[in-house]
Amino acid sequence: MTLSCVAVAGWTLAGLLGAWALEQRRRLELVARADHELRGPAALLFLAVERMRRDPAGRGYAAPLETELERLRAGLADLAAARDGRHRRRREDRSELEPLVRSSLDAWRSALRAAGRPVCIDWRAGRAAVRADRGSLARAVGNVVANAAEHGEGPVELRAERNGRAVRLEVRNGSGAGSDRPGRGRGRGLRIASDAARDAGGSLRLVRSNSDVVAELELPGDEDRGDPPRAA
Amino acid sequence: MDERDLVLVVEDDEATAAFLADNLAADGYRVAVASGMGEGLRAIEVRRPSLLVLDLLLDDGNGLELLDRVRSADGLASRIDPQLPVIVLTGRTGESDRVRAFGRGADDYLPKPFLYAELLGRIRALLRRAQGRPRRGAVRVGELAIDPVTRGVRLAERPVHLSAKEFALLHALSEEPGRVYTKQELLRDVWGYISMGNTRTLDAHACRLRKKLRPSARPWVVNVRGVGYKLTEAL
Repeated sequence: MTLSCVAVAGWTLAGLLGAWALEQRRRLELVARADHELRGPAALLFLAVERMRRDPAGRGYAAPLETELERLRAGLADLAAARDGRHRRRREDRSELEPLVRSSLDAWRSALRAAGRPVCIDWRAGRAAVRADRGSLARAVGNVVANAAEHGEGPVELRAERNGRAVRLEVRNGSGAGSDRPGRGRGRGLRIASDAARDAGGSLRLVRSNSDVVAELELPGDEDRGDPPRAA
Repeated sequence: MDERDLVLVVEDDEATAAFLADNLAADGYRVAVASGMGEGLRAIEVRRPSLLVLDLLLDDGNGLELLDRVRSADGLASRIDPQLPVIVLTGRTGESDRVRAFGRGADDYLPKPFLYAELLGRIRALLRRAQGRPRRGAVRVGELAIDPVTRGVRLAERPVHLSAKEFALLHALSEEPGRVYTKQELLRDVWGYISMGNTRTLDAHACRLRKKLRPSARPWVVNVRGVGYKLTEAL
């Protein structure tokens, strides 16, 4: 009686595990298909933006799109790596920070203008460059800017300055109702930005004053070693 | 004649192919586009590109099958150059996919989406490496013209009639005029011998070849005693 109970329990457990494994496999296959379906259109967008960049009239639009596409590429690489239970392989590159930051802001400029929210940039960091994975860098900066644009109120103020060898970016906005609910902890966008900042060798801190939220993104500066930085 | 490299893009997504072609043309390449395997093969035969950019998922087949056809071409009977540099562009990102593509003969592999600048860098690097490879097209050495496609040989614009092996021997020597090919190399490349066999076959063909090219005062096929043969360089 006891033996047969154990056998029944064993077979039941094996059946459940088998069903679970099949379900996991089905999910992974769905993720793989979605990943594959995204890659073709993403490749088309990259090529279209490259074509746009060659056209003097389109050049201004290409830079912010390129930065956003860099985030898309990093996201797709994350998705592919996560399917195999790994992290995306990071590739260090030397990138100039100011064009990256400006292009991230440019991506939001129209929406902010339409909402009557001015954008102010106070760049005091000179030609600061960072050696980091470009995807992580674009993601960190992009998410901080997006957070201020999407969840804040009033003007978006960006200030960049050197802090020793590091570069500190402060993005300040009125707190508004959402502000990624800083009082209750960060939302997903800022958590992703924080992880990305860490991947890029830096850190992200969120400071809330009475009426403002300031995201402080600190990134390790890269001294010029002869190779020209890539404009992001 | 336009000396710019011709890049053939085999991609079934029209918009992707068009933007890729536009960008490559802006960077100074001649570009041809094919949307499927059959069309791609025809374009390789007719247009004779310097490099192939190949998508794997095509409407009428798998890009790897096209790659197989290229790599298995003999370069003589067909117009396809088996050493054509090939970059695979695909949405498949798995390591096994990469390994499979390299195993089937891809020279490079770039998963989508890619930075165009990276693709351009890889195209340039491959074309640079390919510059030194023997060309499979028509060869001209001075007054001697050899066309592997028509298997025709002309000396000072007059046709020279060669047997299949004589032609293959001459074509092998013409890949690098001036270079001495050892008898072992020639027996392997022209006759397919794995080990060094009787070299009299080679000597007899070389002798007949020399006679057929004799109307010219210049000795075209030269015997380097104890080593092999060479085709003299253009004067």
